[in-house]
Amino acid sequence: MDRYFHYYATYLAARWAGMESDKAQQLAYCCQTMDELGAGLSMVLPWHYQGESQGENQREKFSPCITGVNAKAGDGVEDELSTVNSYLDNIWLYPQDEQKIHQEESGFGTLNAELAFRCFPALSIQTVAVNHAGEVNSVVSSVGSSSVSGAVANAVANAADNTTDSAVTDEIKPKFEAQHYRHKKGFTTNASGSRINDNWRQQQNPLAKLAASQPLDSCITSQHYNPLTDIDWQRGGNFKQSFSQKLAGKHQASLRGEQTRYQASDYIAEHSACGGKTIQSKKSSQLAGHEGIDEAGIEETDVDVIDIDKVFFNGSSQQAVHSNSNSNCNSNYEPLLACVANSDFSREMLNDIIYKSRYRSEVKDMELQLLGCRLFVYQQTWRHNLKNGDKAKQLKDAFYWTLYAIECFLRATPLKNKRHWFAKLSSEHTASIDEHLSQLFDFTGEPFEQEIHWLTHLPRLLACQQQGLPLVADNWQQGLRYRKNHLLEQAMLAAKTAQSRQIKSLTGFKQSDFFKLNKAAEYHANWLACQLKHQQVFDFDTSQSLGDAAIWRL
Amino acid sequence: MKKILFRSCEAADGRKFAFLTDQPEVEECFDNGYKVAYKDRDGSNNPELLAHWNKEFTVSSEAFTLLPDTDEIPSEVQSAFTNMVAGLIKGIDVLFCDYNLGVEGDLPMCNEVMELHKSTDFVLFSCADIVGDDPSVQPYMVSYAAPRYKTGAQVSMQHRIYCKTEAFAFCQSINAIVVQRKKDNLIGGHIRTDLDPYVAESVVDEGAAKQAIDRFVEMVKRLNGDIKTLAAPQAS
Repeated sequence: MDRYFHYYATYLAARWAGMESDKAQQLAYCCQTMDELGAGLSMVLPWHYQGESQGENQREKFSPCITGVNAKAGDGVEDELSTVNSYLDNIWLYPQDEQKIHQEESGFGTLNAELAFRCFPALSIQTVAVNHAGEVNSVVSSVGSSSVSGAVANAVANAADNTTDSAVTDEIKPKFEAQHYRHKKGFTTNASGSRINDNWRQQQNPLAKLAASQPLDSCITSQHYNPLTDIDWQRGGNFKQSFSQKLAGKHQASLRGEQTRYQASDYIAEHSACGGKTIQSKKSSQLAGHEGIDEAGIEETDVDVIDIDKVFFNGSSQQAVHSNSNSNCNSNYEPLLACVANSDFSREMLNDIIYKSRYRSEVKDMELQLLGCRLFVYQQTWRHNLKNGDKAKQLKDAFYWTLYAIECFLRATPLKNKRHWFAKLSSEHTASIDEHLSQLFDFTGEPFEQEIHWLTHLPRLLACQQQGLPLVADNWQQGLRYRKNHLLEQAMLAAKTAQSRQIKSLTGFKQSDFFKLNKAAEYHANWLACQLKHQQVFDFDTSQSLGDAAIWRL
Repeated sequence: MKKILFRSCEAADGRKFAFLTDQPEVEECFDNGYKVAYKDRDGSNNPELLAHWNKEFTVSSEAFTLLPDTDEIPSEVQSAFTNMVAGLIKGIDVLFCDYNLGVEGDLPMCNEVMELHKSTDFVLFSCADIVGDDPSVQPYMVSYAAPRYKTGAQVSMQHRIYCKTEAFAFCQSINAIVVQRKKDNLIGGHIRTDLDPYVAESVVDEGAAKQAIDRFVEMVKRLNGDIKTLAAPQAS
């Protein structure tokens, strides 16, 4: 990433958004300092505090958050990023290798700091789900002359539809609706494959039928469901997971049994419900023996709750369309954890600050620092675009989105998909602003030259936005210039310590920006760990701890 | 070992309720449900008093073991059940029945009878340990209403309610049915005894009820192999 982007661009964006100069500078320092908090650098050396009432041996350690591995503020980081991204590609596309990688050796560095701060995952639901539908399409189209296993995939996919659509329908509307139908109330699919959904009125029996749309042989597995216990009314009335498993499992079993006694004529297998509790053990043994499904394979199409039907879907689709799946993988499946510039999830992360500061007290007193921390993470999501695309364009994009984010923070409204502020920029200055920014972002040269460029352009850029203010005098720029270790020194002053980092004044230390920034980073890392767990990604635990929670309370 | 229990009762306003289960402990829930639901409907002018049944009797069968967990209900059992209910349902307005009467798993027994006897409303309750516990995700009642008859302009609705095995749920179902029937009456949708003559008949008496449930229990026992042929007595 551009060497001084985090500082100067954030400062400029904050000033344009309406923040006062000192607050904007504070924010910018927080943002840039995040970059400095890489493993192995002086910023992350631990601090010590010795309580007055405790004995000599009691020393509480404060370990600042690590935001990356071998972090060098500057362009050198890009090479590392490409390896990280390719690492991601490897593990998500070829799941069998994933088991060999331990957390310590993972490309995300210790504590998965890279993942949490520099390669913020997109957790892109949309691309995944579209492919889910796409995969179903491809299965359906290939069904014509394929064997019964194709029917399994299709049929199980239909069962999967029911439970996934509640999680997915919010994201994808038109594409999925066409595939969507309900299993309730005796609805059946026609043997010819057309989806009818008004049959249900004629049959009042709660009888769920799962049919494969096969022209040659139709295999229907039906199972009675108890509307009281088998339907998840709170999530749109789909079947509960346990029931879908039962149904899918039964269908699998019937088809496997059918394979041995296949007849050319229509064969309909009717099964009624089997016991409730025993299914759990049945399912797991079925899974274990079935098509060698592994965990990582599930996560490829994982959406919200890990759904066993997707396991079936994956498993059977791997079996049924085995030749297609690997080649499809590269084009269709986007790795779940890939870093996408300005992803929905990253904006969610920013909105989380706004919500938490309004409604909860978890981030009290550290909102600005949290904003600085997350703006850093947010800006880093553009990083991998820099090597392919036009650098200035990407940085400008990052800049304008930062501006929008800070505006939203100040106004306490959540970020939306589009940048609404654009209309506010006065038209006569837009061209010159653009020109200035392009010059700044395009700059390749010595770092101190770049700084001078920033410092000279800043007053003009500031003047563009706030008309009526005179051009500021030159000497204020001295205070604005980025000073490395500024926050660290500030903290040392407040804690009445020096290089030894022995804190003498705990309250002073706790009021320093450095401390609050670390608290914010810790909050962010733990938040991301929670989110990843919700998404059933258990291999990357990004949570970090600063030390004893009681002592280092904000 | 379970017993089939059949309880036939007449409510304070003349409606006939019946209760058929293999969990005898639920009988109390059923009674309590009725008493609370009819508290203001029994014409007693005393709001604190719970309602009473006008008439009631209970019969129970011999002990038997439930049919084991299978994929589907054996057809003999299903037909035996249907026959039993056909014998018991004369004149009954609302039948409370176990969702999976006589079988171990969560298999529905009552689908056929609900279709056959459309002039009766059904309330099916599940085995308490199959139903989930968390009240914030487990509904206590799921109700369907299907038209009773295919002919006729104003058709009343048959209620099929699936509810939890607790007095509160029973009370609510009784409420729902009673209120809905009143509304049906107002708009002209009546129970048509010309189409379903069994509703006009009088309720079965104890002896007939006992016979019916005993027959069913016999069938289940036979399938379970409970009945063993007696060994010839040894000459001492």
